[in-house]
Amino acid sequence: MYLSEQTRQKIMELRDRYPARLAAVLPVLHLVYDEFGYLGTDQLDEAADALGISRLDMNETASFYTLFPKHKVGKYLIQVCDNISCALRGADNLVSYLESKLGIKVGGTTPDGLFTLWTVECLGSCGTAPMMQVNDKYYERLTREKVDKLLEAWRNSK
Amino acid sequence: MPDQVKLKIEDRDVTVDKGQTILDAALKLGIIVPTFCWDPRLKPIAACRMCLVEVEKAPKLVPSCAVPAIEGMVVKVFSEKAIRGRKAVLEFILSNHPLDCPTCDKGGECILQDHTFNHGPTGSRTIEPRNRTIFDEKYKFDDFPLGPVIWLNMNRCIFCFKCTRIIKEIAGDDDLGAFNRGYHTILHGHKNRPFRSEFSGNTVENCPVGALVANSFRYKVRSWLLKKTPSVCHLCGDGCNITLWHQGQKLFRIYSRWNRNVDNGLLCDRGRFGGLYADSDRRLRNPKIRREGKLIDTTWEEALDFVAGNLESIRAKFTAAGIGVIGNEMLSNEETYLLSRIARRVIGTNNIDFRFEDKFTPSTDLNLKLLYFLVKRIPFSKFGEFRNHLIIGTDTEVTHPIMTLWLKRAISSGRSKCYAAYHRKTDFTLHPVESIEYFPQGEYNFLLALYSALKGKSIDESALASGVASTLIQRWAELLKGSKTLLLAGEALYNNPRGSENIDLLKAICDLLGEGSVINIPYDGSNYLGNLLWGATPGILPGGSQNDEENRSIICKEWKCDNLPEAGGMDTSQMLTAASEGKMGALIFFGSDPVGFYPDREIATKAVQNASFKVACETFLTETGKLCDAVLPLAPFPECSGSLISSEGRLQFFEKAFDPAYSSAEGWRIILRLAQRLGFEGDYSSPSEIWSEMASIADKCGKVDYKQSQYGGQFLKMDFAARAFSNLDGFQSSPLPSPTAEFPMILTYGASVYQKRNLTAYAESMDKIDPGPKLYINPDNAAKMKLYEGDTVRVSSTKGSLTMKSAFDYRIRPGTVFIPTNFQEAEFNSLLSSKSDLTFVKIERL
Ligand code: SF4
Ligand code: SF4
Ligand code: FES
Repeated sequence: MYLSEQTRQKIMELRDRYPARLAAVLPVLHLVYDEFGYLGTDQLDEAADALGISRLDMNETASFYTLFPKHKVGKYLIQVCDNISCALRGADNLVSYLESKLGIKVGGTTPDGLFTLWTVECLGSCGTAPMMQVNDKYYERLTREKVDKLLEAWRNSK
Repeated sequence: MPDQVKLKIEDRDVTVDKGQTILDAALKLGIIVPTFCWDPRLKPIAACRMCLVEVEKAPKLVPSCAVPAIEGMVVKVFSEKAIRGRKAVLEFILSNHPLDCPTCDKGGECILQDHTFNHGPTGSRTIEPRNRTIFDEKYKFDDFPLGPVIWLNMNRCIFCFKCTRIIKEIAGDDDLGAFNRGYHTILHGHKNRPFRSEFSGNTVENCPVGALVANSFRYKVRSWLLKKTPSVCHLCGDGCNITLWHQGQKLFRIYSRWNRNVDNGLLCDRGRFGGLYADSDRRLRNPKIRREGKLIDTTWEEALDFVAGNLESIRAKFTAAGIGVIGNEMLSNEETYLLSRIARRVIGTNNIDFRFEDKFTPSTDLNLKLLYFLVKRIPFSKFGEFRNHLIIGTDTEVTHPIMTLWLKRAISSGRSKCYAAYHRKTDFTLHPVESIEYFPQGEYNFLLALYSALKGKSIDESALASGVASTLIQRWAELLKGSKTLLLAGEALYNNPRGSENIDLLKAICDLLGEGSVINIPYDGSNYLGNLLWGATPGILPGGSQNDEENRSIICKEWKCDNLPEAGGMDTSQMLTAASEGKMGALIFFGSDPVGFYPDREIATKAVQNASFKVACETFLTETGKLCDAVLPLAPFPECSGSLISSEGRLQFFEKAFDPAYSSAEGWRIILRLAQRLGFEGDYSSPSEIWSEMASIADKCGKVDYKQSQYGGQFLKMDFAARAFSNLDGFQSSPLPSPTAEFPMILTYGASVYQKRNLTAYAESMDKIDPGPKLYINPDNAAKMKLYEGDTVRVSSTKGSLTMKSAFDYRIRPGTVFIPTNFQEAEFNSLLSSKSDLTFVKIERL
């Protein structure tokens, strides 16, 4: 049993909200993500059983959404946009700076489990490039100094 | 009309039903729109965009396979914009395609090739390397095995998702899915489970490109070199229509022939891959006769003379009643008829049977009762009209894979519900079924309980005796009461010591259910009905009439003889028992293997040993054949012509694809040549000549009416008088013996879903699909015994013991174990005794 009673309850409520159960998969993915911070196969299987759909369908759908982490990630998930606008404003410098500051490569997680670094496609914030999203928040017009400060703050707030 | 819409396609008017798509409308006009992901059997998903067309006033091109036709729509399929759109789609699909057509098995029959040729761009505009999914980094190998028989090359995939949809929507299995997205998409099972659906081969046939390929066809031959011959699958009663793809005398693959009313273009893996047993090089090649204790190769002339000579002298010594014939339910109508004729007319005996896998074969009375039901069939395509389906005494997924798809279709339409009672759990994976598991051999008690519940009588006793909670049976009675129900009765009901009572109960239950309820008896074996009908049992003459004075005289006239042997005659069990006691002179086995399959190996072995003369006619040397004095090589189905009656009641003719390989011969020819040596004057040059003789007999018996079968087969129009059904008031529940402390488990056995007897085991892929015999046990039982999956165990009964690997199956009823019968080496029947109804065993971990 991975899912909390609460999440399970919420999934149950979603069962009959839509004409087809499959339609509830996306809200269920969010529920699982909210509880664990990532979507593991075991959790998804349980959620599928609770929703009453096949485990295969649940896992296929989850795999489609790349923005949901599928494995445990750090407390701060740093997603840096590396698409054209940000790239023109130095996104690759930003990425390599983050890599060297955190001592990890893109896709990796720091040993203390605090940070995970990803690059992602356009987040729709081109006017304020370069930018990154950390968990649910945007950080824009980034410079090295800004990044230093942010990392410092997060490290201290452990 | 309000339910119809009128639209214009390419300036032509067309009217279609509301809800039909633009593509349907175009097809109605004969306009071909190219498609990849569309399939009439699947829900549209518009994944490929190949079918784009221009619709006036619509801002963009629309996928015609998914957009419903609307009143007044003006559609252009060949406008410049539409043509350009489809070309762009193809360019996009091809942008990552490896274009390895020269080594791709789909080359020459690939839809992507065809569409590119007709609609595509002539060149590529990109120079970037193409995306490649490599399975084996070291050897840079792109193919990888999805399961035991299916290989996937992800680079060729165009993401039409036909494969996953066929498996999910039609087969209702959950072992193939599409993960990730875009060109990162990859197909595999949940948690990388191997792709083992028993319908897996359909993905290969329906994949528009060469992404999915079957192990048995990979890198072997180019499809355009092969000839195609229409045929009918022989491996179960469903009678799927197939196409044999062959070159010379080599069979390369079996595809569907798409009969919308039978298989709907789908085949099970047993038929598709198992059917390739015909191509095995382990087949019997030459006739063999026993000389100085050894079976040695000889010529047909010598072998037939040897057999005929021996039969003559046995007849002189023992009288004709000392000779017995055991055929099998896969013989064609023509072969059965000839066999019946040679037994009764030429040899002069009624000792003939075609069943050898059960010890309780139906009596003549029950056979006639079965005939009555067997000829009144509900075609598969009408299954959806029933509110409920009640399956008793079989696991249809094993015995009738394609029929089960029709059940599943009815379930998923939401109109029908399915109830299944058997001694193990019935599970259609994604399609809900209510399952009851009774004691093995508990059919009688279960039926009695259900009958009493419907009557409102007390059921406690019978429910207890059947091993099912009485509340459960009451519930079913409530649910089924008054609704139009299709009752599907499995072999366990009539191959049963209480077979006759079971059928009476079933009839009574059917009468108590709603208006229009019908009994269907889907039999295992491709021509069970044909065998009953054409005289392969002692008590029924060719034409389906009872073996009595009056009917014999009709047949006598037809066969131009004075008399036929009086009624009487032994069925398989009686013949084998008599022979084991040394009371039979000769046994003729025609495609039957009692030593391997009769549920008492000791009796069957003794029977064959003790008969003075025995001959086997078979495709592979069986355990029975090894003990015989002569073995004649029988050609398998691709090399024979004839007709079969499927369990749907459909008469289907099939033609041979090529002449018998090696020195083997068609069944009817062997019977005929033997009969001629025994004094039969007639002659036939082909099965159709035999058929016309059969037709005139049937007409005289007044019971069979048919026309020459056309493409797709046709239903026999037959009617048999109803038999007397017994009064049920006196029926009492009969408790079954319980396991003993020494032998605590009940042994059940039966076919594996992938196999037909041991024939399919000779197919190339089968050792991968279904490797080796296993003892299946419920995980709960196993946990109590501290048994792990794969442990070697010894199973012993009072008769003997076997050693095999164990496997878990939650469908097995706790307290029972299951052994598949398809492995000759397992000798499952050495545990069984024909003296007891149930076999109790003990399991020890080694
Ligand atoms: S493997 Fe074939 S059938 Fe399956 S999605 Fe790819 S192209 Fe379609
Ligand atoms: S369902 Fe039966 S007839 Fe059809 S392919 Fe399978 S074995 Fe053959
Ligand atoms: S066939 Fe219409 S989108 Fe694929």
